Amino acid sequence: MLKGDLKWKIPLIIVCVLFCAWYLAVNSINLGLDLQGGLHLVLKVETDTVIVNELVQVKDYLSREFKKQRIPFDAMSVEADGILKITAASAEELQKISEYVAEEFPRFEKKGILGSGTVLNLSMKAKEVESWKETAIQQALRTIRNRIDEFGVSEPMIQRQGKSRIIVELPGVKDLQRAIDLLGKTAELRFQLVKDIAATQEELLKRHDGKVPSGYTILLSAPDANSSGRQGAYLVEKEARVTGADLQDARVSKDELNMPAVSFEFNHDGARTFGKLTEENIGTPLAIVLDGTVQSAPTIQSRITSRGQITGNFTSEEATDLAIVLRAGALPAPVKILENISVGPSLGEDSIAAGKNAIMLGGLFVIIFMLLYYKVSGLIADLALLFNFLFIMGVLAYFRATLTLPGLAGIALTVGMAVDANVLIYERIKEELRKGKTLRSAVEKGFSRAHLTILDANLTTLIAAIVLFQFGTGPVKGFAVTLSIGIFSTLFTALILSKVIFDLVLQSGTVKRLSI
Amino acid sequence: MDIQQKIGYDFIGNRKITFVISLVIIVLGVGSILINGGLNFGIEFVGGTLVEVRFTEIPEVNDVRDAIDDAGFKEAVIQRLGNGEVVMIRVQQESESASAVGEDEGGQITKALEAVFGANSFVINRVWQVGPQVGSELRRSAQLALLFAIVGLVLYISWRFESKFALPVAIIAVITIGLSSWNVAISLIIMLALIAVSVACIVFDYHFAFAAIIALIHDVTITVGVFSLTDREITLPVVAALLAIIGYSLNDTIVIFDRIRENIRLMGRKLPEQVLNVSIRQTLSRTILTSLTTLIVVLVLLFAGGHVINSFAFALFIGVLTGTYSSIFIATPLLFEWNNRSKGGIFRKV
Repeated sequence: MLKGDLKWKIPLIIVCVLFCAWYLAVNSINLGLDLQGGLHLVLKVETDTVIVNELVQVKDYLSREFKKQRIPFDAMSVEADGILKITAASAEELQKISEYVAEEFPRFEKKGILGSGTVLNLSMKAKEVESWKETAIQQALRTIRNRIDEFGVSEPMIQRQGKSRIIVELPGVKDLQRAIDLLGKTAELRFQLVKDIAATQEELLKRHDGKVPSGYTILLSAPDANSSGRQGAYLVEKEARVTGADLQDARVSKDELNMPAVSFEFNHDGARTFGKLTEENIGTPLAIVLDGTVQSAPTIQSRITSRGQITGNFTSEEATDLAIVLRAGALPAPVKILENISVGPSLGEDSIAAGKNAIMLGGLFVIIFMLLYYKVSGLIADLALLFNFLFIMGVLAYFRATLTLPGLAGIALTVGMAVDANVLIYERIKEELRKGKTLRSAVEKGFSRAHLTILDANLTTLIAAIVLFQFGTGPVKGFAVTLSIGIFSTLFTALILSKVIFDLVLQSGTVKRLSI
Repeated sequence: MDIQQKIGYDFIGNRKITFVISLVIIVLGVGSILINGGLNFGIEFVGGTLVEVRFTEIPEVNDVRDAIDDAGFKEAVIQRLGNGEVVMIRVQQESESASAVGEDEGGQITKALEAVFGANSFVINRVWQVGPQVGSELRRSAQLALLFAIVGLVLYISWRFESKFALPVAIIAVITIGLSSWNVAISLIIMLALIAVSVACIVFDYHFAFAAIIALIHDVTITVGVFSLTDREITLPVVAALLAIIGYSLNDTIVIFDRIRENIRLMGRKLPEQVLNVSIRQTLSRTILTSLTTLIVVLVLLFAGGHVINSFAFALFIGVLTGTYSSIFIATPLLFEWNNRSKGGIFRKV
């Protein structure tokens, strides 16, 4: 029969062991990016550009409307900090403009009238700005999610952080650079009519009296790899007639030269607009512009409605990725990479091997040391250590916690620190024995007097681990996790499990001496 | 086997020696930090790019340097690891104002290496790019972590050793945490908080807490100093190791102090230096044994854990060593010094 507290301690231990063994068998332990390789990106969506773009649109609209309605104004420009500045010849004229804007654009507010009443500064209301930015972030999240889905990554993590950041984690991705390119591309596709083409920008400007005609802009083509980086210059209409937003589908195909290309298909609206555009401009080159760079500018031969093809000097991989980003949609604003952690698969494997080695070797040394120093009692401590390891892994599996390299180091460190509790107890027992106590009462005394110290020792480390968990990121968090779990399982194995083993050994009554 | 019985060393009588040793190490470390113009922080704290490649054949370092130089990274740090087939290239962020990572520096470095060595002669182990904005955020959160750990542990120490003391410390802690949410330099807050706690210790005569806190500062200062002396980088895992050390080294101090308090009750009529020496001796085998098992593991991590966590393991190694040393040779003798200086003597109150 089990005596005293063994009645509940032994079943508790059995339950814990079964619990941990079960979850170890059922759940697999997740490996962090540093162990399995992959990509961790912190992206910042440049939401300010969304506001600036909107201001530019409004500016263009207003200047058209003012001309139409004969409202005179001197100048209009989009300034930094989201200000739309309108200058008029007199205060009366500005008053008219101000009234018009107030009526037409209630989402704008006056930021002040300057220059003796002839300059009006407008900006979007703060609430509007917030909601525009919020929409942009939501769209960016959707787009990035779509792209990753199309790219095909198992268990990606896409998370918003703060106001304008997105964290993307792609475990196990091998082609890291490609994934970065895929996510970072804005993928804004525009179809713009071409007015003039030249070899360089200077030449183009010379032909047009040194300045860009109003309503037009100059775009360059991608540097041509075949002809020593030559870039063509294109004078195109500022406004896109059709954009990538009207696409329904995009697939990889081949062009006439059997080179990789991307074929696209417009949706209903897009097809109608594109049909009209091509019908009216037969013989005019149409620039296909991706993120501000001219991909190609084929001359319109006939009316095209729903289908088209983008050619360029694509590799088949580039064509695949372009098709992906076009299908997934454009980002509402450019994204900047704030942090990029790419871990190749081979380093991950090395790290796992090194971590495992360190745990096993460290564990082995500690086990041998305890055995040599404490003999039989050392064996009990070693047994407790093995259970400790099982508990740590089991709890990790139960929480589906992510194991990182510092996390592995944390386990190794726990192995070294766990026997601390046993040492404390044993040294107390020795002292009691020296005082002439019987083995039984020395063990009781040893355990009970070491309790407080063991709690102390582990609490101080736990405080540090909790702080670390709170402020740490990625791999370091993994260290905090294994360290914390290790502390609890150490308390359990030292105070309950080792005590039970001692009790069982001493209970039989045959043991009169114990090597310690 | 028994360690404690054979030791006759007078820990208290020889305290001047260890005080001087510690002082010398601290002065060397702090001096090195000052001479180098601050600590050498990893790219996670200052922003920059790290590219680690594994070559199939061991390359000439000069060839690697030339390739990187030609790509325009004149200030790059190039380091060979393992048997020399792994090469780590680090470039610090050039412009402080930029918020994003540099124009694909990782890609440029890779291309430069490809041009010289050929694409098939190496694989990319890892690329790590940190923009200065993220860098300064990580720096702040690392400092905050240090601050909160110190505040938490000082609170614990004061509650543990003199519960009356917990109130003034709690007040200081609240003020500290309040300050940290403002835009005040964290290092300044940490210093102010520690000075405030020390003053409170002296005013209210809280010797145990004071000695433990001094030992804690001692351990962190020495570890950081050794990092500067050995020209190692302070990285995020190193900060994590520092926190673990703060927690760990306190253990030993608490164990010895507990024993001292117990012995003061048991052997009240003995001289203070005797009580202190006996307490150290009684706990010595425990202190040495537990540090030894931890050190074994840390040494294994240091030599077999791979280069990625080498600095982390090194910090743990130095920290465990100084933590153990300080609890025996610094914290306890400090109690004695205090006893000599304070009116009532420390043994009166317990």
